[in-house]
Amino acid sequence: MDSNNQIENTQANQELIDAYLLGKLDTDELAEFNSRMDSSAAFRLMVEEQRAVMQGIEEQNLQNTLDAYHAEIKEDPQKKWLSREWLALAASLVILIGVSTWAILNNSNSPEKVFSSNFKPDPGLPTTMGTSSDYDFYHGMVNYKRKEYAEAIHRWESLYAAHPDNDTVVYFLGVANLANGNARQAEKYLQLAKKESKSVFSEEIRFYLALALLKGNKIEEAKTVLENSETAANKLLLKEIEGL
Amino acid sequence: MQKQNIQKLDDLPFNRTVALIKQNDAATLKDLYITNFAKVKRYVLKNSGNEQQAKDVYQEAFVAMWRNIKNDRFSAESETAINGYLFQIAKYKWLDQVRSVKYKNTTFINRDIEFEEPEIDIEESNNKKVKIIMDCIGNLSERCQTLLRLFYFERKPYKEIAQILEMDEASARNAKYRCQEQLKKMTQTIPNGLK
Repeated sequence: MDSNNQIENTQANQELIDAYLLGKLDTDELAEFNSRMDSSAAFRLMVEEQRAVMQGIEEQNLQNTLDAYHAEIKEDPQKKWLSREWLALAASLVILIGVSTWAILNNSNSPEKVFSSNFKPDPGLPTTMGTSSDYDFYHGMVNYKRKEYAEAIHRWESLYAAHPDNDTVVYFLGVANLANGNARQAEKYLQLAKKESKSVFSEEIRFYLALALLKGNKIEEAKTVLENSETAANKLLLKEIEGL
Repeated sequence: MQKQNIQKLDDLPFNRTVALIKQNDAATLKDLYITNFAKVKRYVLKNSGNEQQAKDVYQEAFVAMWRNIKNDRFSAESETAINGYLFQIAKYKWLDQVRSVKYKNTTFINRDIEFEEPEIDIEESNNKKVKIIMDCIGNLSERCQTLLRLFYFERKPYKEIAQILEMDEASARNAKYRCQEQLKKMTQTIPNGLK
């Protein structure tokens, strides 16, 4: 079907070349594909063009992802003496401290315990898409539901930059950060969200904000946040915190 | 956390790591990225750079590492070689930058500083076509950008792309074809690719 000069740029051809570029052809198909490339310069050119498109898309997306990776680097100012020996010593100390702490606290509660027994990420919103501007939000929601929190945060952060007044984005940025282990960042977003008193999430905001504060050992602040709350979950959490 | 990451990479057979990098496996790329930054940062800070510069040079090096592995321009004997390779690229890039700044800022070349020549082969630039495409992607609709990202970068099958974009599989295929054609058209309107 392909004479040397005329290869139609059809969807079928594009999909065939994709299969080749992504390594999805089986042995026979690959042999056929290769002989086609050998016999037709036009086809070869088409493959090279499509390879460039693929590489460009990949590289652009990789570059766009690196900042999200970077955000996950945990700061450690003490790295200089992180030799193997020190690590081993530190590890044994941590275990020792851990075991004794556990032994001491076994019967009582700690903020960490209250946090981990209460924290479950918000189940999220259904990912049905309306307008195209919602699109990024829901794509982030897909990431979020798959527990790909860094990706979700990355998407929502750019959305937040464009629409800082969208309380839904702010709220989910808070919860995603908390789920991702970054309580300080979570606290920042949830404090912002809390200012929006009309938010439909206002009780949830208080719940997660209290947990974020608890994670940062700010017990008194956590109590204040939960004061006068009406929901059962918040009342229960307050009780547990007061028991600390 | 850090230790865990190193451990995990050490445990992976080299070929498997390379294969995962070639597929843009998000977890592998992220682990590599997180594991190796500290060393590059220390190096840049020690050599008259700041944190931002460390980040910039590291990200450049990371992309170069990724590109070279994709194009089979890097082969290694040992499993941890990728970490060393990434560091070498970053180091070379940083020295290169320091050297050019010094060259610009001083009327004489400081002979005291000996710069090591790189022992590695760094493919500096992409071919022009790839660059033009990278420049044009941002002009596509959000939906097209996402679709092409899911297909080529995240390597999702059409079935999954269709789910994410809430459409049926055949429409996802058609849309991908159309988006890619749009992108190709855009690149053709840039004469010789120089903006």
